[in-house]
Amino acid sequence: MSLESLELRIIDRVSKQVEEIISKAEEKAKSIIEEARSGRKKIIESDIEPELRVARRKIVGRAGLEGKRAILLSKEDVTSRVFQMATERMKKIAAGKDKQYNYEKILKALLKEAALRLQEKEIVVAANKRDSDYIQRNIATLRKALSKDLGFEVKIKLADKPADCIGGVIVYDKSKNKTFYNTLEGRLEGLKETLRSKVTQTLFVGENV
Amino acid sequence: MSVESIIASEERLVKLLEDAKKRAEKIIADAERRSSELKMGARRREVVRKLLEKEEAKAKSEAKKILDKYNREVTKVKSTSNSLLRKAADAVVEEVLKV
Repeated sequence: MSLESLELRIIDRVSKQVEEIISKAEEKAKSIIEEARSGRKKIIESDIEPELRVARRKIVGRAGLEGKRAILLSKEDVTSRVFQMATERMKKIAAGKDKQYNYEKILKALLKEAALRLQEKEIVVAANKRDSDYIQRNIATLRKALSKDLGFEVKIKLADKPADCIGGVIVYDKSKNKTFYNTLEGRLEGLKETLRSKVTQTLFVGENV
Repeated sequence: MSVESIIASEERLVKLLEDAKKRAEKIIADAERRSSELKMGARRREVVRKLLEKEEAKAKSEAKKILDKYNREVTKVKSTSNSLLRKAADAVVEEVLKV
């Protein structure tokens, strides 16, 4: 082998080595970058996981609250309709247009309840125009019945002005120190909170809403 | 060609190899620097934003399902039959007039 061909072989071998060194380095660099790219996503995901959880909880939680609020409002709306229907029916009853109830008997009972609560010898009764007329027409009978119930003589006086109510009575003593409100709407208002849960039970329990 | 000439050529080739090794080291060092940049650098914000957007889209879709479910329940509540409302109203009247 001549020296020239020996030199050429050496040059050729070294050139191949150089190419190999650079090629390996480039491959390694490529793998480093790829690893970094795939690892980066995992690292970030785990880093911001709490942030993602908060964002998710905020959106989903808000929807849950909005939904529950909408349910409550719709139930409240339906319950109000029930109270409205009850009020309408009480108007009919007080007008004597509901055969299921004897309003005169109810009015007497409301008056008796108020008088028993006041325990006064002289009472003033305020009622709507229709009921005031009824009381005026039957004042002697009512006085007698109340006196018997109370165990002492009672004087009944009608208020100067009729009360603005569906029915029932407002009873007070002569000096207006004691007053008992026994109107139909007053009783409904007083019982509303207790009745609200009863109404909800009647309407929605077992309905899965 | 003389032996001296071959020796000189060998020295040149050894330098070539050393240069190649240095170049290779630089390529790898650059890749490592780029790798760090990828993990910690400005592009991280973009990835975070995309992940948040993706999670929000998922959560919004879930929220819509929840709201749809509640809306169906609201419709059901609002369509409570009149006979049931009447029954409840009658029970209220009965309580109010219970003297």
